[in-house]
Amino acid sequence: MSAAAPASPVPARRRPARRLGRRLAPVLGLLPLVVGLACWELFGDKGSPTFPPPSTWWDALRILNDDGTLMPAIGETLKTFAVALAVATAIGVALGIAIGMSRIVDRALGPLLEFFRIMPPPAIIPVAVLVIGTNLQMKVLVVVLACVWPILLNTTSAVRAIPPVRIAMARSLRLSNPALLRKVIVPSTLPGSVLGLRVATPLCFIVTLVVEMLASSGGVGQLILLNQRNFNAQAVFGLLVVIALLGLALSLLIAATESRALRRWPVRGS
Amino acid sequence: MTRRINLPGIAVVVILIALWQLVVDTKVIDFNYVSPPSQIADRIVDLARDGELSDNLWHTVSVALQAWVIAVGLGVIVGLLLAYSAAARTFTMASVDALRTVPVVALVPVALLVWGPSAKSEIVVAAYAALWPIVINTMGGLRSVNPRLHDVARTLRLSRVATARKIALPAAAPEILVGARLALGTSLVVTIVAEMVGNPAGLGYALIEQQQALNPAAMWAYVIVIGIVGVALNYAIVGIGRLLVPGSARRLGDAGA
Repeated sequence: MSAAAPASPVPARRRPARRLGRRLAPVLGLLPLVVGLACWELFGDKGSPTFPPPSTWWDALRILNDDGTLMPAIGETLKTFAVALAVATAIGVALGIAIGMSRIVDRALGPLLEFFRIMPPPAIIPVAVLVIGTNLQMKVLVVVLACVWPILLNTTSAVRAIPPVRIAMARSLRLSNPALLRKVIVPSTLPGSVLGLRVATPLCFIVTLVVEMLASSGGVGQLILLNQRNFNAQAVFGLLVVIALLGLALSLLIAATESRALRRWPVRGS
Repeated sequence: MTRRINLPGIAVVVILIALWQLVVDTKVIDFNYVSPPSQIADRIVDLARDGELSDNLWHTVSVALQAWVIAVGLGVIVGLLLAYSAAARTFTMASVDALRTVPVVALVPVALLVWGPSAKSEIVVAAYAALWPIVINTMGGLRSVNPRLHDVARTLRLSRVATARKIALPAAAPEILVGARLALGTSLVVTIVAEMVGNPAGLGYALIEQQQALNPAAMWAYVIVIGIVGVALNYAIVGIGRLLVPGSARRLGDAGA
């Protein structure tokens, strides 16, 4: 950023270089991370109890895989995640539409929902464990309580943003209430709900891990905690990478689903 | 957020609490571990009286706030750097995105491994988690500052530091506040998780301890207290934001989860 900016826009000669830079940006951007890990590998002490270098992580993961704990744990985590996200989406959309359509429902449920929304989700886990026990229902309940909010709030505001003309038109076409819901309201709110789903996805994954850690109920969350308690640092770092990659894969999967879902009702304007 | 008292809302809460009390008292549903609200309220008073509650409350709130302050300070600086230096963006943005997507709770065991069960582990993980919303919102806020304001700065021959301090940061303040509010919630949640999983102190540990002692009334009491702490911190920062940056309140309220 020089003070004497040229009067003309960017000179033509510099453009290809810029474009190259933009294409390389993700690669260049990962440089600090890669360099950091490489230094760790080169200068790290293989026997370090706290910071084992990356190459030892892989070995630790292979051991976990060979003794048959890694894959079932991943499966367990994904199952909880999928069920919870599906339930949260169903509840979030249904409740979101109800709250968006009706002023009374909104005011009646407002304070209660506000309390549950701001309440830190892990606090519910001990209660759920005692009352329901350690099973899938308990895990799903806790995860849903944590990740339903983005879906619910986005659906609600999408319902409120429906132009009144659209509802009036449906009324003048004498659509029944179910038809109104199916043909007008749900399609109109879909982009909002989908946006909420995208925000909810990482949240859902995180809370799934928390439940597994706190309720000792299987899954990758419990596995990483057990390895920490055994001071197995290599496995902890290895599992951290596994969890990060899982989280990334789930986000990409949801983003792909999202663009498919929105193909029928493309977002216009905003 | 109307000024009127929300009667239907209060009615629903009161009815639910009454129903809860009734169902437990008449043993319609016999869950062993569902304490009636009256007993939970008694237990909160007991815990408050013998000082246990305030000790735990102080520990958790102070850790969460320390982590939050660190995150705000660091996050605004990093956000400034990323907003104004193209080189910094090119060379770090993808790393920032990669680190940001690592689920934070997975770092709790790592921190416990490295720093042991201590307040330090809690602060490090909570600050790390709270850092990202602030970095992202500061950067976004600064980049969407009206370019004319920068023209004004140039006309007034302000130095870079003065531009940032007098023009850019105030203009981006509403957005930074939204980030700060999200960060405070995150900081509290992560602090409580760290206490539940590792560091035996604070509200999170007290909750787990009462659960393992099969002491449901005290456990419910801590759940309610944690919820109230969350709500109180949230309202505090919305209130402070309203004082510091008038006009940002609506956006702050709309920021959602």
